[in-house]
Amino acid sequence: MIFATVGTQLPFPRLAGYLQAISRSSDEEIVFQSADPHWSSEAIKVCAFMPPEAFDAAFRQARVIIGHAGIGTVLTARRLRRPLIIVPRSFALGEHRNDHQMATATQLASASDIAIATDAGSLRAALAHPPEPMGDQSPPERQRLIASVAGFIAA
Amino acid sequence: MRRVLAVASAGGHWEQLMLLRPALVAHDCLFVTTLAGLPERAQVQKFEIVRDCNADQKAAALVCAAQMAAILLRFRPHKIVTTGALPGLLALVLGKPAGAQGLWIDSVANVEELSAAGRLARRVAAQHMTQWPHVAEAEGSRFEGRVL
Repeated sequence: MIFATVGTQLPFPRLAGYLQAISRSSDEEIVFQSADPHWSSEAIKVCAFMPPEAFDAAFRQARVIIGHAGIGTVLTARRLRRPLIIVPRSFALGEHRNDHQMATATQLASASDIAIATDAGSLRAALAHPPEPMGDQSPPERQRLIASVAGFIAA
Repeated sequence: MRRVLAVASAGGHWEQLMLLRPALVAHDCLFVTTLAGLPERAQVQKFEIVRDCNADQKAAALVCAAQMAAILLRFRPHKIVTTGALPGLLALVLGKPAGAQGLWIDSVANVEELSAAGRLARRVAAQHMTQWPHVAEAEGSRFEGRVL
């Protein structure tokens, strides 16, 4: 099963279109959290929003996750150790309020556990060969931030 | 042990706050978020749910502010820690006159500049952090590490 998610803030019609195209040429089940109560498809199981437990369950059941470049999606994929392909929202295409998802994607480009797709072709290629998930590694920079927060509270 | 109010909107903000929990566990911490089911999923026992809101939703922001004020009056935190977004800013704004010192941690998603809420938070936060060194330098914040 492929689980696709676009977060809770805004729909992502371009990604929905990619999923439509994929569903036409593949038998693999697709579950799509769309953030759009008006979008529907015969071949895709669509849910505009999902409660947290159901969201985690969909992640766990999926062979691969397709997401927008939201930090919640990235951290959830690592927390649940699932292969993740991200399609960043583009400000130029009117897909978000600014271009921070492109910046996030650029920062994540070197992460071996995340594939970045910017069009239907690269998305198909990534689906055929998904990246290897590595789970949450708790980097040293996070330990430093935790220590700073602890210091602030104690001060 | 301090009373700490930890605030994060649903989504990436909440996931980042969860990664910072080791800094909070030693204290009497009340978590506040915007989506029912999130605290339970993370085995957070002590929490409140407030109305989600952003800058385009004035009515929702007013409801959220009223809920946050009630939480602050009841819990009387020494410190407030937030990873955003607008509900976290409201907590800092309302908590400051009540004597609660606030820490704003701008989301790691804001790679190039502070979020709009993060910019406003500089005025009310006792300490202000961004997760990117170049943003800290450009916008008068501090870089103290990063969740990713």
